[in-house]
Amino acid sequence: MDKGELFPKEVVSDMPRVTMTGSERVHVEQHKGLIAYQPEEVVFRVASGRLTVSGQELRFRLYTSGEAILTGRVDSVAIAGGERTV
Amino acid sequence: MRPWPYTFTAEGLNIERLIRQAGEQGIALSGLKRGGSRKISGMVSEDDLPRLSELAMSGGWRFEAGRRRGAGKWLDTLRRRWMLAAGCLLAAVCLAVASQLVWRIELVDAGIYEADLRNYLEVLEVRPMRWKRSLDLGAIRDSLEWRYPEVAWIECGFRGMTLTVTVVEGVASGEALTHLGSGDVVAARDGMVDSIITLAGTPQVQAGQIVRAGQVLILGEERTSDGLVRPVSARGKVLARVWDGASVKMSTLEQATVYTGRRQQVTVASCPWFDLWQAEASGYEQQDTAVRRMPLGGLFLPFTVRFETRMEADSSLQARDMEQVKTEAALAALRKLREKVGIDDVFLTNWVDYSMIDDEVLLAVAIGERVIDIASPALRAQ
Repeated sequence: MDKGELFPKEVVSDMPRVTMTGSERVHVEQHKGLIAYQPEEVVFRVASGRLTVSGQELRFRLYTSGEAILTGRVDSVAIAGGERTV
Repeated sequence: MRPWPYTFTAEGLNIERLIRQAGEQGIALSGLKRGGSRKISGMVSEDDLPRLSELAMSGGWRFEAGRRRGAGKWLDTLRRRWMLAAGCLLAAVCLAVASQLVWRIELVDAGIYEADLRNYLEVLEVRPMRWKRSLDLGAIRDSLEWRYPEVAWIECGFRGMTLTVTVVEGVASGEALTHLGSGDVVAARDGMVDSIITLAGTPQVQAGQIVRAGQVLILGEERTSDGLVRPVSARGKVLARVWDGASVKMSTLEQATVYTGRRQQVTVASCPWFDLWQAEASGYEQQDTAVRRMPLGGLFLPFTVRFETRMEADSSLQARDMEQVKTEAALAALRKLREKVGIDDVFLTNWVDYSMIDDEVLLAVAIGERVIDIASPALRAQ
């Protein structure tokens, strides 16, 4: 049986899941590690490439091996490698 | 497990690698923020702090642990100021212990028994600074009630750290009737019995019966189950209709003055000590005089001119309006009746009777009907 029929795709694959609440909070799940952290830019390694969160006064409310919660003023979230920009 | 979060700062190149490696080792970081190009600060749980410190040291980063946050911060404060915590705990213990002691004894409504009551409590060793649980309140109450039989009841209880002894004196029941003499209940005044409630004794009257003052209403005797008659102190309540009256006399004539029309005007100059000339007499049997004064020479001289107008009058007795007289007499009689029986009493009904005396005086008698208790105890002669 194809597991994809029983479980959500982000569970059975390594795809990152990004949840934004307004422009003040970003929840990143299933990242592969932190590449760079500056108050204006945070870069994660993800399965499909890199995930970049841009903004101002960014800080980590939580960082673990699998998820991270960023707060501050978020201007953009970009995934490089899959060429998708939010 | 020690969940208190600790603050930390880490400084060095490629600080993101420290964060990444911490995440790979299962160390959760929170509150991370940049403090410069090479410095970050954040919080980590107390359990993970040693591992994070070791990881930072092994990677060449400078690591500095801060203080506990949240509830752990208060724990640190208490550890640093353990005397404060110990003092608060000691105060709480002392308060708890003190609340188990009697600090004060209060006597409520003791009246004439107060001095003896205090001495007696001292004899019973009921005094301040005794443990509450060492005092048997029931035994104390029983002992006091035995010592003071005239008192209706005594209550002992704790109110906080005060032992309160409340004394309630009984109300005297009036004339004491002992078993050596019986007593009847007699009528205090005339009336018609409305209802009778017998608490002790044998009733002698029934509802609807007319009784006279002094008549026995409840006899001070009772028949026992074996047919014997024993004397008792009769008690009960006898409600009866009674009538009270008050009278007022009022004249039906009034003095009236009628002017005949004849008048005389006189002018006299006078000073404060005498008249400059005498005014002639008017010759009227009765007269009314109107006087007007005018000063002579202004206010500087004490002379005045007095203008008198004399009007001949004839007075005679005239009959007043009878309805007016009746109204005034009735009001006066009712007021007098109310003053006689008391303001708080309520009349079932009241009315006024009128009669004439010598055709000149109206007699108004106000009568009011009430229902009152006419029972009065009386000792029977032995």
